[in-house]
Amino acid sequence: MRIAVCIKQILDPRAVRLSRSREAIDPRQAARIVNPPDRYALEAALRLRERHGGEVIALSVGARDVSDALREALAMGADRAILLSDEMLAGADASGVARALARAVEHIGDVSLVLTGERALDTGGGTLPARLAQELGWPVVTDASEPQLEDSILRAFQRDEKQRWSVSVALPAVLAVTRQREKPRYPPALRIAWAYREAEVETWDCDDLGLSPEEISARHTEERNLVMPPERNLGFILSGSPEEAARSLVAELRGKRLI
Amino acid sequence: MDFSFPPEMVAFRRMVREFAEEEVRPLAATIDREDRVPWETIPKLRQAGLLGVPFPQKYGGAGLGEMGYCILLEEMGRVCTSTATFIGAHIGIGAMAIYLGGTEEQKQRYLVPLARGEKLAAFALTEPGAGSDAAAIRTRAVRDGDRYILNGTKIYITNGSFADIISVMAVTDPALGARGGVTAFIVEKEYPGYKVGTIEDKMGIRGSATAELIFDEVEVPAANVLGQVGLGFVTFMQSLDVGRVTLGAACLGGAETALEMAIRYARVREQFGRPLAHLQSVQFMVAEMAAEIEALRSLVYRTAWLVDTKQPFTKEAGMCKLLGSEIASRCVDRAMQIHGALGYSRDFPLERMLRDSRIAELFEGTNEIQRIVIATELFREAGVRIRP
Repeated sequence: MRIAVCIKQILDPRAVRLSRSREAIDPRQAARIVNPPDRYALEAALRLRERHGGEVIALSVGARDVSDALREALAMGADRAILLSDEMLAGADASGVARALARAVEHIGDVSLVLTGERALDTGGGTLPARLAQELGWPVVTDASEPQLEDSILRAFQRDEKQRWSVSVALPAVLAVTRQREKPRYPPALRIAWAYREAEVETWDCDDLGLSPEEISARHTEERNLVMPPERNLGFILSGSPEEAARSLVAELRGKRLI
Repeated sequence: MDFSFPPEMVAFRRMVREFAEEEVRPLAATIDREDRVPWETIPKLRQAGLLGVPFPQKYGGAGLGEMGYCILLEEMGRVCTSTATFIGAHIGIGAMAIYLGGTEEQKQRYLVPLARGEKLAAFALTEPGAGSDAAAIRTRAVRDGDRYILNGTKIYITNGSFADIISVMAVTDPALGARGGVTAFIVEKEYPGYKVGTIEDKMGIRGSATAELIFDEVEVPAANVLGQVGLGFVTFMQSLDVGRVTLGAACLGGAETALEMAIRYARVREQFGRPLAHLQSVQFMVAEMAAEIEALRSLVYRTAWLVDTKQPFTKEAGMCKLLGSEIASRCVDRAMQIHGALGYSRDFPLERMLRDSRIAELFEGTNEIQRIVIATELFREAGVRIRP
């Protein structure tokens, strides 16, 4: 089975600082990392390959330095890495990126499953899986975990706070993987050495994919403005005896509809 | 001159840091309290390929050289000195002796499983009567046909209680002493007569096992002589040189953690109506820590570069160990001073770090020995031969 995994390189959210104007991020301190949910998607792909054989191909869009993220995917165990890199793609919105990725999946050929992380932690949009599925004309399962293959039916779990249930989908399909029990593996030291010193990251441009500027640059989404997440409210300390404090804690949680 | 790390080293550090934070840090206090080796970490270290980092790929390693190995120990030193010590004894001196002194056959047989982490190594030099004066060792190896018979006792051997493969120094010719009379051997723990004695009850690095090893008529095949007969000191001193660089790296990691803790605490702890960060006495301590750490970092990675580019590095290795251990101890001590009584509490990692850091001034050659090593090299360059 041939599985494509979409990988996005983002600025490490733990290290990102905001500039003084608080309207832009200051990328100087922040390392570029693989979007953490995408590592879960890659882990799920590698587990499927280990059980059923086949090939895992990591796929990303961006400038040349994004190949670093793909090398990390190779180090974790991906068989091939392909970077879609073209100046035309630099201005593309989510729909343009989805179209380019879908075209790449078709260009690779014989792909029966596309895995993505549930969302990118930088923009937090989470629309890529659905857009990709639409471009490919395939079904999509979002918030999926622990995918298992039975014949050509893929089963995965979805969950809410209270329960989880199993969903099945016929391949080919797009699956957006949420955080799951199986943590992404550490890339073994030996594969890191290979991935960064010797491995090849294939680079495709729009010509290779037969994509015209109109197909990519037509913007279907518009960015109105950026707002910072609300400041966290400070906590407060409950006073009184342990019994009283416990009672007021429960009341407080009930009041906020948390329990 | 380019001071940036190559991309594979950046990626390797990222992986090791995540590993250290997720797998090693959560156990650091537990193994110290429970006085035990972090057994649950070892298979994970093996899986991540972290037990053979510096060795070439053809010997089962990752091929990341001394620089990669320094990164590994710096990151481990940041979170757990016991785990760093375990790795250091396994790779840096145990397996390294076989890599540097072994024949191709010995490397295939012993280094490959060690580098893959399938077997674990120790390095046995110290004896009750021979510490800094390593030439005073009394463990005897007597040739008997195609084998040697070993008798004697080694003490303070890191990983000794569980190591599968032990590099051992023994006297083959008492008349010649250190110059021509000492030979290195590879001993397997299954050899009859090999026994683990008492386990040391230590002040620090309590998560690493330090054992007494007893050799009672142990038969070792002559094929297990490491390096040349009579030249054991050369083999062992070379491994110790390499080990000293990475010991400096582990100390660098410990010192960095101490500095980060000091800064974090000085930002939030208020006295006299404002955070400690505004007190000049605290600023001075933090500034001195940072300056020493920066100097140590440059020294450690420049020395790693000397090793990887096959240039002489004995003097610099001594400096890494000497300065590294003293800087780490000073930084932890200053961080504790900034934390006040909180730093002295066992609920907080600083008291463990203080106990752990002290060992680095003692083992793998005391700091006094390092000074002699450095001075010997300096005088050698000036045409004077220092004799012990």
